[in-house]
Amino acid sequence: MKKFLAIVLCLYSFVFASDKEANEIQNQIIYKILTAIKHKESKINVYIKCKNSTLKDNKHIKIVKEYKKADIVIIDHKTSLPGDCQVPIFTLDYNLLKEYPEAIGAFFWQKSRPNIVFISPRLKKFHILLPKEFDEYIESKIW
Amino acid sequence: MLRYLLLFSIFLFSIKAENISNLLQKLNETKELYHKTKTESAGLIIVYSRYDLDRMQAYKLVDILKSLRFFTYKEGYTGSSALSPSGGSSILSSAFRLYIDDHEVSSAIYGSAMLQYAQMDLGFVDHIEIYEGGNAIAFGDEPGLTTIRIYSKKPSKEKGTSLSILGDSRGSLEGKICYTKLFDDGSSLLAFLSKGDTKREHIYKNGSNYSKDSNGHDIYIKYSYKDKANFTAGSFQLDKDAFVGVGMSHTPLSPNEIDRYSSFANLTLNLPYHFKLDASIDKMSHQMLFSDKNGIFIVQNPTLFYKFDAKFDEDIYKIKLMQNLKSKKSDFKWGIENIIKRYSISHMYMDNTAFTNPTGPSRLNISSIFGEESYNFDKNNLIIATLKVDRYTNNYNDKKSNELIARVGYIHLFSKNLTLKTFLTKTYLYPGFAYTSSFPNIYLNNPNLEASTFKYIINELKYKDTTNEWKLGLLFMRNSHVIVYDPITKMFINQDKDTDVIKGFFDYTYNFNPQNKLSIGFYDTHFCEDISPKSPLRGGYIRVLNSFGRFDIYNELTYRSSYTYPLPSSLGGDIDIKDGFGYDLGIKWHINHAMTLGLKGENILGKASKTPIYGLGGVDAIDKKVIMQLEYFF
Repeated sequence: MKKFLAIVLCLYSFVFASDKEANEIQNQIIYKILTAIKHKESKINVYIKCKNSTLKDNKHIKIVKEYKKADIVIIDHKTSLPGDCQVPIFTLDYNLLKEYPEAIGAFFWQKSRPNIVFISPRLKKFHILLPKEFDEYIESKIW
Repeated sequence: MLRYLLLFSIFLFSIKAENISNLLQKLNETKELYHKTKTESAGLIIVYSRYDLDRMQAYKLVDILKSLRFFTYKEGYTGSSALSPSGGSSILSSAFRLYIDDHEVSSAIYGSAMLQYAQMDLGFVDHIEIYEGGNAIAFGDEPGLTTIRIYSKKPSKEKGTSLSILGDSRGSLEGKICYTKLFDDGSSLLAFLSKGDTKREHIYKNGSNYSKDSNGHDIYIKYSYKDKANFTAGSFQLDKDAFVGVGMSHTPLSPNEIDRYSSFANLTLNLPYHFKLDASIDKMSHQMLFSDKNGIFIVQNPTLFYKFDAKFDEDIYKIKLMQNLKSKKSDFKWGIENIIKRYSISHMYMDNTAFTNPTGPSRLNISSIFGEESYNFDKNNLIIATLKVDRYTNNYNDKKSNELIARVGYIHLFSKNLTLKTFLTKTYLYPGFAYTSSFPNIYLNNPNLEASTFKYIINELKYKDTTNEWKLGLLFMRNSHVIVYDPITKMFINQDKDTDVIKGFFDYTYNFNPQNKLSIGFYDTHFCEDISPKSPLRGGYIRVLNSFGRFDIYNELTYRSSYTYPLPSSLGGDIDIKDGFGYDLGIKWHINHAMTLGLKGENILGKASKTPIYGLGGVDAIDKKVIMQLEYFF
């Protein structure tokens, strides 16, 4: 509530505070997605190839340097991955689902809101069964 | 180590407890654009966020206006949109100021742009803010009592293009496209187009077919270059059947229509030293074609005539330079502005005879200087002081007048949950050309008409915690030099007597969780003298917004109180308008992340507050209908 007085004088600090809060929630969402994919609540090994990501600040995932040691790969741009990469990929850009056949889902901003999409044939390929609360985010194909 | 383990456990517990869709909505709420645009110091605020507008399936601006507190949405004899302040008539509508992004859209002739923009498509709109408590300088431009600010979608958050097709049970059909693009140099583009035919309920009476059908287009473009410049442009066309028309007996023949077209271009530049320059051009035209088998009467013409063909044009040119200086405790804005308003009669024929002898001003110049200081005494106390002087000159009678807007505001935080806002305002409303200059009507023009002044104090006590939000508000207003119709002189005059009005409201919102909420609101109006109300004095709403899985559900009941609209016996006598209960129900199905199907019933009970029309009694301003929209996003 006290934030609103600050809007008048400290717009930038408000925006910063809001961004910080948003980053925290974003990290929670990603962690929840990862635990849903891997069915475990301990630290998840993640191989990251992201340009702009706050994932590195996420204390609840373990960033690994070799994709082979990863439970999952997260990317937010078109990048080269080893040809023998058999680890499921999760993207932060919907369009990357079209580029990577191993990409099982995406968490992205579109239409002014955050979206989650999982592609069901790809989930099956990796034998991933998501919890019921993710049902509404599973789609049969890429649009 | 133990501390980290504890924090980690709390984190795990919190995310286990939090549903993924709740988390998504929490993130959405944190990133809603209105957090960056709303100005608490500008008055009492009502915000319609993007999430709420989407779930409400608000397709036109009227979908928001119809539940606006202290106002009732009406459609007059010619089917034109108007908002009546509680208890008052809808004649002086300049009380409303409407902004699309940084640009105020207005009408030099009628004072307000509601005639056209009430039907504006909201397909390009991100969110809407409504301010009560007098204009803040931050918004500038002309004085008003309520300011509606519409903010367009942001390309960096939109990231794509949407295509929609909309139809309704009356046979309306509309298509729209909203395109956004982010360029590598940091600039962005939003382009919106909607085009369609709107079918309305027809009334068949006295051998006449009364229609409010319309067609037209809405185009809006915004180009932003980083934070340095914004260019916006709009083109809005609304060609509408003129309902009962302007004949004395309401027996219109074809043609019976009003075609309104408005366009604008606005450039905003953010300059060094915190200066901001705004320059804009507005053009509007009103083409009217009326015919009536029993004749049309106007004061300016002693005999009845049967056909009326006219076109009025108006232009508004604005330039404003403003500087915003901020320090640790102070936010100071000052600036200068010049506005030129012009109107002209392109042509005007009554039964093929040209109407001559137009009198009254056709050009108005407004020069302004203004300043506003917002000062934070400490973290709990904010004081706002505003002063604006407007100098009006016209080209008719060398009449010059200086009008003053002064405002003092105080915002106090009792605790992190409880806030008090108080604004003491002196402002005015200046009559449009429609009242000062010669237009064919049932009244004569009065070039000596002066501004009516408003002094008011408005207070709001607000409590907000994670689940509850309530607001309690009280407004006391004294209107002086009120513009009223004088049957003796047959013109609008400034009333000598002051009118005092007290208004109160209560709003409550309960958030079940980030996706489900219930809102209730009620307002009442009390005039300190006996008056015959020309619109409802009381109103309220109950709104429930739910999201379950891929479905959004919207329920809203809008209430407006009964009243008796006074009319002389020659026009059939008073009209009783019953209590109005407008009920809307909407269901939206997110088929997948790209495709949405919306189904919405409007005024399902057919009991929304009606507009009094002599000869017909109460007539629906909001049709009973079912709307369906399919949207594809890519």
